[in-house]
Amino acid sequence: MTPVAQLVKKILFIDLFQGLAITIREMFTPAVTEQYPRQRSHVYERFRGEPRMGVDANGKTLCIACNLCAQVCPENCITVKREKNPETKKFELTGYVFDMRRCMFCGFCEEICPTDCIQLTPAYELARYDVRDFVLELPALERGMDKTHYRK
Amino acid sequence: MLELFKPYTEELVKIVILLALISLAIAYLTWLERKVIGHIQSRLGPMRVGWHGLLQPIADGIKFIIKEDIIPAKADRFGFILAPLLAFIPAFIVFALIPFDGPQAFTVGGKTYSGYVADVDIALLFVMAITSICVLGLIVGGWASNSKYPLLGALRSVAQLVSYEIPMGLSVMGVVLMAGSLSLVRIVQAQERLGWWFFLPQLVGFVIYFICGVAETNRNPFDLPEAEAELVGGYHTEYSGFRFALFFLAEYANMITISAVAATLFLGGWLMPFPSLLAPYLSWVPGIVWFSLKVFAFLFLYLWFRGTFPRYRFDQLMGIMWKILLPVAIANILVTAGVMLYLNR
Amino acid sequence: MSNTAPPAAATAPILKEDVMVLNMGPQHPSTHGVLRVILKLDGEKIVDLDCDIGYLHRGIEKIAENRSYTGAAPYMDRLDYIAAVSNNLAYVGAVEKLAGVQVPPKAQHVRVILTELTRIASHLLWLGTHAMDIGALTVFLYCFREREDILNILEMTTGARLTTNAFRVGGLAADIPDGFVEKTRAFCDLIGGRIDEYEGLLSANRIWLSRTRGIGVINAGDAVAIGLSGPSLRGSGVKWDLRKAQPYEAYSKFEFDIPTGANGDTYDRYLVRLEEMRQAKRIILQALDGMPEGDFRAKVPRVLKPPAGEVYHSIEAPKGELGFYLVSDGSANPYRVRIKGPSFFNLQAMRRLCIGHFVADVVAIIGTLDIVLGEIDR
Repeated sequence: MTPVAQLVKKILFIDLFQGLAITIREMFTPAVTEQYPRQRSHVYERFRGEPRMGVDANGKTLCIACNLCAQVCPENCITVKREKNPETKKFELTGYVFDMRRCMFCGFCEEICPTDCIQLTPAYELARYDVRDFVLELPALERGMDKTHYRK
Repeated sequence: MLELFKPYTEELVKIVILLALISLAIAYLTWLERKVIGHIQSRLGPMRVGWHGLLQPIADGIKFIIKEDIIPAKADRFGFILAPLLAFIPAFIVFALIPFDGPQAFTVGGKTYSGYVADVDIALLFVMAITSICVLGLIVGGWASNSKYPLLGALRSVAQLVSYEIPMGLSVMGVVLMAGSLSLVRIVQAQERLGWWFFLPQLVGFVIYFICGVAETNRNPFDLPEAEAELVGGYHTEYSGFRFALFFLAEYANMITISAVAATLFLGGWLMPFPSLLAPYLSWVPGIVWFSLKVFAFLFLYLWFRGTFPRYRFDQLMGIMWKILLPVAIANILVTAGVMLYLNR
Repeated sequence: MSNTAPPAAATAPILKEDVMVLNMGPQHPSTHGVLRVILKLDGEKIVDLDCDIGYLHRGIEKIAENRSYTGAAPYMDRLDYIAAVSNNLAYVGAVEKLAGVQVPPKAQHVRVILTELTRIASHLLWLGTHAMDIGALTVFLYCFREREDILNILEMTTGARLTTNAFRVGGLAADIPDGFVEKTRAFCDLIGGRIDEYEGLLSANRIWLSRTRGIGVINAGDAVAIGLSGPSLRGSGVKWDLRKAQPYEAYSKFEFDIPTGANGDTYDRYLVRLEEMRQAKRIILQALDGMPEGDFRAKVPRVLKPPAGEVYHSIEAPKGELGFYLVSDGSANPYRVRIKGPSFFNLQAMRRLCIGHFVADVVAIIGTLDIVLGEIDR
């Protein structure tokens, strides 16, 4: 481009009009805003959110108290309480504590669980008013956390 | 006492109406800004308060009023309190001189009223003078805050505003030369007589005026005094609540002022566009509608600019003003004066 | 953080009483996190500058010593949280090198795709914030709109949007989900036009040019001496990219160019990053086309105990060379994890680049160096 053409372009504000044309075009394209409480975002099934413990058809826990999840957890937020049954020589689950205050949702626990018992589900509305609500015991893990519903 | 005001009843009523309308316009200008910029940025802008956020400005206003009034401990109290008023009051005074409509705008009870509060012979000069008082508010605010970022912001704004007054004043001179008057009403009437609006013969002056106007109101791409990325909030960093709201309102009032003056000087004020073409169909539309449309067009430009451009650096801004706008404005005056001399020979 | 001699403007005698000390940060809208810059100003001109870091120190290197080799990986996502996948790749790659694990080809391809997507995401965030610092608000939101698509792909594939924990030693956490290829392709189709749009808003704009041209100039020699890497180095014209220089994963299979700048100023670095986004798109498309079948994860023992020894593995992260130096004593936990992050080295150029410029340029220069405090402070 010759210097003269450049100068003419500069005087005519060509570069600025180019930008203005782009923004005005965008103005008439639909917005991408998601109006959160009214529209909830689509969450993929792999999303790692609220922890849940699975139960079988009879409502009995799937957990076999193998303690692998507690071992693999980098943040040590899982405590498996278990007792050895003297008859069957197998561990039996007596309690399970999931401390969500420490959890960083890495997903190692669900990955290692041999019975697919513990899972990080796509539920993502995890805010609570009381910090104690984040320490989840077995019933809460099986039932799911109490939902906080945001009104429109 | 009341007797004293009696001759000015018309003006007083108009002032009250004007204050209400302008306040409302400013409130909805903030709404418009958020909407326009939102859509430019493929967002929606305010949606939750009222239908499409229409009550948002009112919610914001209430929020500003009920917020805690904070004056920093080390601030200069007098200056800190004075500054927002210094910025706010002149911004509103100017509207007294803006001709929203012609001398025979509307008839009430057999009497014809004009579409402006006052027609002063030196209206343009007065507008320019009053708007520059706003600068005082900014520097006092920045200084009185006793904080570094506001101080830098205030220094920038004073340098910027004072320098941009010069080409701005010069750019309207061409119009004054063509109209032969400083009265805003007579400038519009001159455009009516000429049949052309002044932005065509005065294109250079018009462009310079608008650039300076953007700089005068501290808007993007010249929003250095409040450059958020560098100076956090600029001169009003330490302000909150209602005092901040006053600065904010002053800025938007100034935007409307600049747009209104630009519409009056260059776009024929209350005149209808293409009168020969449209007059048979649209002669019933009051002049104030045309005027508002023109002002709106300018305001939209402001918002559009903000949604598009980056920000100049301080020294570059001054360079543009002294090295480009000022010489061009002076050349524009000389050319206009020469042509006028030739035509009126 | 003093380094090479400042330019002549800084050494000129100045009156001390004119110097104002201005604290920029750690709470400031454009220091990209919690960086504190102590500016010494003469008017608005910068006479001297000091960077104060450490506000985001979490001791990730030390934490890693107390975790297993696999268990430390999620923490690495939190270094450069804008490009979590790259961090993860570098760490996992180092562990694989140490333990001698062979990664299946499919996993390598997916790794390349995800890291290149992350590169685009990181550059988009950089472009958005950089433009916003210079006052162009709109580019920021356009960039975030496109970044959202990448985050969706990451969420779909890895299960998280930001701290993805995408890879495992030996491969991937899980096979690619249905629809991954289509979604990635759709994104690639989209992003080219969008980059043109950003260019239309900025590249020719006189304001953008005057704010970036000639700002923060560094020549190739100084850039190498300071230890710059990534686009900040290539902007000065040094053609150094670890993806080409020492190819890792499957990068040797793909064709791509390394864009370089000529002047070493902010504008050149801007152009380099934009071009890198286009090249990243090119790599992604090639990797999608040549996606091999097979396993996504090699067999790796559950408790990984690499042989005693040490290893250094580095990759071309979006911000530059990201290296992990691992020392193993044969146990299940690393003996030492040393992180060489690009942002830390790039930040060193701050003083060299800023002196003599204006306050407004500091934010432009912080932006152009593309730093992330999570990685600097670790």
